[in-house]
Amino acid sequence: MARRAKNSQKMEPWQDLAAKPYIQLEGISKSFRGMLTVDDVNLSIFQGEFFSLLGPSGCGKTTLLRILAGFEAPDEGKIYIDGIDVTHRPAYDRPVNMMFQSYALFPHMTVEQNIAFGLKQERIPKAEIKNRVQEVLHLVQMEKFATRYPHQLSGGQRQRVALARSLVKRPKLLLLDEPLAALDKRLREETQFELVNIQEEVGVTFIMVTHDQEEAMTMSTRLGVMDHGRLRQIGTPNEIYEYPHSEYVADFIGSMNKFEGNVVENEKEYVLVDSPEIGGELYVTHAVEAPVGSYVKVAIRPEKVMMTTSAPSSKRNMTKGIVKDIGYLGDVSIYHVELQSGKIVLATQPNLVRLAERPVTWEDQVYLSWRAENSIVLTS
Amino acid sequence: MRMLWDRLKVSPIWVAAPPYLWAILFFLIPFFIVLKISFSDLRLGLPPYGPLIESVEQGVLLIKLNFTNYTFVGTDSLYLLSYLESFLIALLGTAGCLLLGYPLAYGLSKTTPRWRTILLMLIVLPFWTSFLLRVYAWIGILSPHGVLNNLLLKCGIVSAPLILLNTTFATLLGIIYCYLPFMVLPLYTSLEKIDYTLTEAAYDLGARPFQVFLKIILPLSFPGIAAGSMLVLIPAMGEFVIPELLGGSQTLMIGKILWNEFFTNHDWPVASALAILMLCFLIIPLSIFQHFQERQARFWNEN
Repeated sequence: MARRAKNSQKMEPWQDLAAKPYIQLEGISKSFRGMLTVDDVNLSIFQGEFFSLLGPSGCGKTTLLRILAGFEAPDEGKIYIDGIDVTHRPAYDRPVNMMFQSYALFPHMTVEQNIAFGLKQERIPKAEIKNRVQEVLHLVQMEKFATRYPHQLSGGQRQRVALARSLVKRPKLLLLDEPLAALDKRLREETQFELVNIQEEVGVTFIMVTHDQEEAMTMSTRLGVMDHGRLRQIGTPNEIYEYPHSEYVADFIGSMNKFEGNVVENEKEYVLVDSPEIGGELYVTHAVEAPVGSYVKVAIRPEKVMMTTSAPSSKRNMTKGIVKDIGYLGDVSIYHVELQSGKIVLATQPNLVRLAERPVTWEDQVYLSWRAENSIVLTS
Repeated sequence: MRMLWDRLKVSPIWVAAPPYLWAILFFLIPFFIVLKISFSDLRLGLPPYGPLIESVEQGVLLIKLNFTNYTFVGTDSLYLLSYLESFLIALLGTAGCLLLGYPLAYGLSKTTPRWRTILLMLIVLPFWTSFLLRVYAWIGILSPHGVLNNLLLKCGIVSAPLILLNTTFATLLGIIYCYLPFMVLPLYTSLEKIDYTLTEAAYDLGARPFQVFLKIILPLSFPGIAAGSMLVLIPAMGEFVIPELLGGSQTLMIGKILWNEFFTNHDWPVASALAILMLCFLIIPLSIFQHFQERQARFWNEN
């Protein structure tokens, strides 16, 4: 997950307090028929970033993208691109291009004409148009199909043409609306990496809308999780996965075991939570703003849960239960373990041995434990 | 044999057969009768034309084809002029329908579905009144003491009544009025089919509204323009009722000439030759129409 280290070291301008954001959204709100679709969104994106807006359908991510493209005017707020206020500029007068989910290729034009369309609007000399069209066709490896019509292309080829068409104008910002949704799974995985490579090659700032968390994690430098028009959390894929601020974000990305409990001790280095659900105490090694006695949830990812047949040495961060279900996924198995309280805990274990030699099976009693630094306290 | 029968039983031929039978009975057979008459000679009596088959004797079939009807049409400039005038009036009528109909159809395709039903209904509504009555109504509007002249006189725009009725202008007006729905409906269908994200994509790529119309909407609505134009041009060319009621004596339309030849001159062979020639005249626009239909199918076959 996440992008390679070499790249992320270079690409962390959000860590630098002096860095100037390239794209800036200030208090953007938009409602349709009284329904608040985008609710006070503030966002700073830096040059060359690959930013993803992630959320379920209807969370307002597409509306936010359309506001950036200039298809919708925000009710409130301002948009700055490279320091210039573009809030009230029409779509045809913004240094922004969009790659549509349906690709929106003009059916009456060839691949070449589709790509040249945007350049012709700028009255660029013919010879230069030809060169630039060739350049992007080469970039997306579609030179051979220059004279074809869109309906003569496969889905993957159309996707490349759509990308080429939106890149040829060298926009300051490229918006991608579910760019891979129309492709089948295999092609989608291949294209994910290709799209990232192309983005690095051209250096254009990308904002992608997606509902596919895996896609967002793989491709983006940072991502924003949206819910009901609000940006719930912004961070690198790693931050969002390992340190979700809220239950919503924790649930949306991957799966999560959550234990309810009350804070018993709250110190600078740790929090101690008493949880009747697991019949024991939870020890978490990070600070949290929750007074003693308050109700919290402690979350732990299934792959960070260790499963053993004999009791672990520590008394904290452990519980025991009966294996009720095993989901076999090939590389890993997901064990559904029922605790004495009736709570089901998921534990993902790598299949180190073949299925027949598996040490734990249905109705076995197992001990579950995890390391204190791997769990997090969710207060909201 | 058995298999052939089984196949025939479920064949779509049974659905297609009745309309084809209808077309053969009432279009193809009359066409051949007219074609036959156009090659015969004029006779006094009933029927007012001679037979094609002269005699069948000793295994020899003698057919006499009379081309003089066609050559006669060529010698008298009246016919050629009326062909041209019909074509010109039909063409102007088509252009008028297109100019009025395009914005109408475009507006229609952009309204909300609820309004669309009402507005479409309003366009089809005139068909509930007889065509003849609607043309008669125009006489009331255009006559020297009609509604329009009275209004103009009252407002002081003109001092004497304008001569509007029985002019080529009135014919043109009548054609545009009567055929407008035939232009609007196919235009609306093809405009409504255009994916609005295509226009958004064009805006996004820097095209201003007029460019979006010129480069995206207009070409994509071409099948509708072609279909609508053919639906107006072809029947307007052969129109008889409108030039007869609204047009003057100087309005030479082929429909009127045809009527004259049949019912005033009783020259059925020449009238038939005129009809056959007009049909040939119409085959050209029809084949253009066919071409565009095929092109449309090619562009949109995946959507």
